Amino acid sequence: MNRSSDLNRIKRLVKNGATHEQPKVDLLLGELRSDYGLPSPPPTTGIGDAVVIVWEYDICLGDFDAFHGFLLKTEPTLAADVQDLDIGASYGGTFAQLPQGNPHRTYWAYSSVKAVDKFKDALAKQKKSELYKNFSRLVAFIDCCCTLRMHRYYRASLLANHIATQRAADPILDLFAGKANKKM
Amino acid sequence: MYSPSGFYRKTSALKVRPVPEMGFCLVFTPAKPRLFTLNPTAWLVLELCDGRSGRAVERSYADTLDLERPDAAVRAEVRGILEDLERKEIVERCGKPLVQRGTPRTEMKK
Repeated sequence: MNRSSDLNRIKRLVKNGATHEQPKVDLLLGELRSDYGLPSPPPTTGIGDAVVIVWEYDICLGDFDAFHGFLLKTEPTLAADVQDLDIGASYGGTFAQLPQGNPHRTYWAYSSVKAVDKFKDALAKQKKSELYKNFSRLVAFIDCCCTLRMHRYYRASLLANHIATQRAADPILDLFAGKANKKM
Repeated sequence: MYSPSGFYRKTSALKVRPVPEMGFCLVFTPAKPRLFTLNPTAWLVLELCDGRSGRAVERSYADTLDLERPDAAVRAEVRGILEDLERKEIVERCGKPLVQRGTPRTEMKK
C-alpha cells in the first residue's frame, strides 16, 4: 500500500470517530506472562458422558467470518448427525474465547472410552456422508493454522475406587491414596 | 520545543505497525528500545511528519477535521503532540523541507 492511501486510511479513521479524540501517545509497558493455565472444565453435558474431548485451536483472523458462518449453517446438522449414529458420541459445540477471539474450542462428549473409537470407525465408513464432509470442513479450518491441541477429560465420578483397585498392581499409586508413608 | 517553521520527520529506523482494526498504530524506537501506541489523531500527525513544517502539519490536520484553517485548539493539539513525539524520539526536526515531489501545489502554497 502506498503512502497516500495509508494517509487516506488514517484520515478516514479520524473522521469516522464518533467524537474527536485528542492525539495521544502511550508507552506500552512490557509484562511477563506465563503460559501456564488451568485447564478449563468441560461444559455441562449429559450425566451419562464419561469422556469429554476438547479441541483447542486458533483460527486465523482472515478466516473468522468464513468459519463462524460455516458453524452457523452447519452446527445443528453436525450435532444431529453425530447423535443419529447412536454410538454414544455427541457434538458439544464450538466456542470462541473473548475478547481475544481467535482461540476456539470444540467439545465432543462420549458415553465411554469405546465410543471414541466407535465414532472414529463410523466416520471412516461413511466418507460420502454429509457428516463426514462437515467434519472434514471443520477440521480443514483448523488445519490451516496448525495449532490444534487436544484435551481429554474423564468424568471424575467414574474414577471412584479406580485408584484403590489398581493400587496392588502399581505401587506408585499409593502416593495418590495417601498410604505411601505408612508402607515406607 | 515546538516550532511552526521547523520541519518534522520520523526518526530514522523507526518501525511503524498499523493496527487499523483496533484503531491505533504501534511504533518502536530502536535507538531507545520502547514500544508506543498512537491513537488515530496522533497517528495522523505522525504520518504528516514527512518533512513538512509544523505549520503545514497544523493545516493538514485541520483539513482532516474539516476546518478551513487551524484554530487555536487545533494549533495547541498539534503543538502538544509534536512536542510529545519529539520528546519520545518518534519524530525529529530536519534542517530543510523534505516534502515529497508528489505533494500537490495547493498544499505547498497554503
